[in-house]
Amino acid sequence: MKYMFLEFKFIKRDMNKILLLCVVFPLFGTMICLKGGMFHSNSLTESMEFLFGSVNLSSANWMYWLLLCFGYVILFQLIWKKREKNVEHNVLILLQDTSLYYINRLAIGLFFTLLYVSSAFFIAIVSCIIFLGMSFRIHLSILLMFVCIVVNFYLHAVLLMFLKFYTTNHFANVFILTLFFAGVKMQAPFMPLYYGMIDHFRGYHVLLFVLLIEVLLMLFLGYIIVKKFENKDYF
Amino acid sequence: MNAIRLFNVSKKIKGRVVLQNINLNLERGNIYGFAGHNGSGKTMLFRIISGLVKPSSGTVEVFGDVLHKDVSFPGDISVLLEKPGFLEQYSAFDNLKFLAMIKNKISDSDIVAAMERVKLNPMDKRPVKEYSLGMKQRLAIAQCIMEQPQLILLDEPMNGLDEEAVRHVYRIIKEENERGCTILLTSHNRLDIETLCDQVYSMNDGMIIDVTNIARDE
Repeated sequence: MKYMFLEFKFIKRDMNKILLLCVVFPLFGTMICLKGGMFHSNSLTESMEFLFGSVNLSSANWMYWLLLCFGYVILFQLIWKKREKNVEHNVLILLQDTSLYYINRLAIGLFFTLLYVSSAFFIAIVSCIIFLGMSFRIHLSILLMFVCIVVNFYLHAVLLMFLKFYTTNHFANVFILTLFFAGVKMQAPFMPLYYGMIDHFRGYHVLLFVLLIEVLLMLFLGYIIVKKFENKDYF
Repeated sequence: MNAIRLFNVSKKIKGRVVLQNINLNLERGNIYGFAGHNGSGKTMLFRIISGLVKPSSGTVEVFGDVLHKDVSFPGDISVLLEKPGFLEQYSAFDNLKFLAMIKNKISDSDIVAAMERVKLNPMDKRPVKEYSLGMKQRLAIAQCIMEQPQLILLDEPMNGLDEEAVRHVYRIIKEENERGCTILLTSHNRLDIETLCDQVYSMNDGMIIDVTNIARDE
């Protein structure tokens, strides 16, 4: 917990921007969907499935996803921003453990992924209740969509860090944006990296299989990142 | 007893040799100077001793632990490498507190004492980005001494300091050495090294070319 606190200290300067991002992109997207009359049903669960379950229902939905993904990539430019190298070196020497340092960085990424997706769900739910008069009822499928999106987003974030290590910042960002752009457009995803959206996996067994592969891939990439940073020279 | 031992340490970066067959045997409780022009390998040697850079060949032993085998970084060390770096948006005290939190072995009053030793005001709430280079340098020295480590590496510690501050830093280095701390320092200024050090290593092209023992005035 103490080390997590250190991570928060590192990003404190950008905290306002981070929190703003967590609100602005989901809010703007939700407003577009509301204005586009995307929600036909009176059920909150069905409306949430329209919004988060697929991108093929309307152009407003597609816009929503693009905004959400774009916001997420910007979020990680702040959270995993390059740090002042001498401070980083001092922290590494004091911690005496590079693994711990990078596990913390990955953990803080997961925390903000949860925050970002929670914010998107919260804004969508509250908007449906306030503007469309729906009654609040949490269904299992909403929770499942939440888990799918968190896992899938975070897999992209870990891949972003991995690519930044092996290629350049610029390439990694463009690659992840392209993956998101292509991923949300796919009608029938054949790779786990492309969206664990619930509409694509109506059979829950398939969905759980996809989630498992995504989690394993995430752990594998995380392991490689931590090991690579352990053997890196810090100039 | 030995503080640092290097056996045939070499470092190659992209095919270029930056350190070549360095053998060192540095005893505890002394001050060692490393002299040489820019690019002679002084800073790289310090990075290797601090564990930040792995040697391409050879072994580094600090206080009996082999780096990257027994431990990743030396246990009781503080370093000032090239230029001081801080979280610029925080005050000087908050920066030191942030680093002190990691080991959690000193109190706020120890941080205050370290800042006062380098003549910085612990109550100064200004962010470090408003500090001059000399003040940042003094803050970096405060960071190096606040936890009273057994080994301090100072790479050009006098950079940006005026004459009075340099004399003051001389005093701090001697005091730290008197409490038993082993200190390694580099400087472009031969006078710094000759005033402070027990032994001076001259470096050129990544090699140690000369060792001089200096009789210090007590």
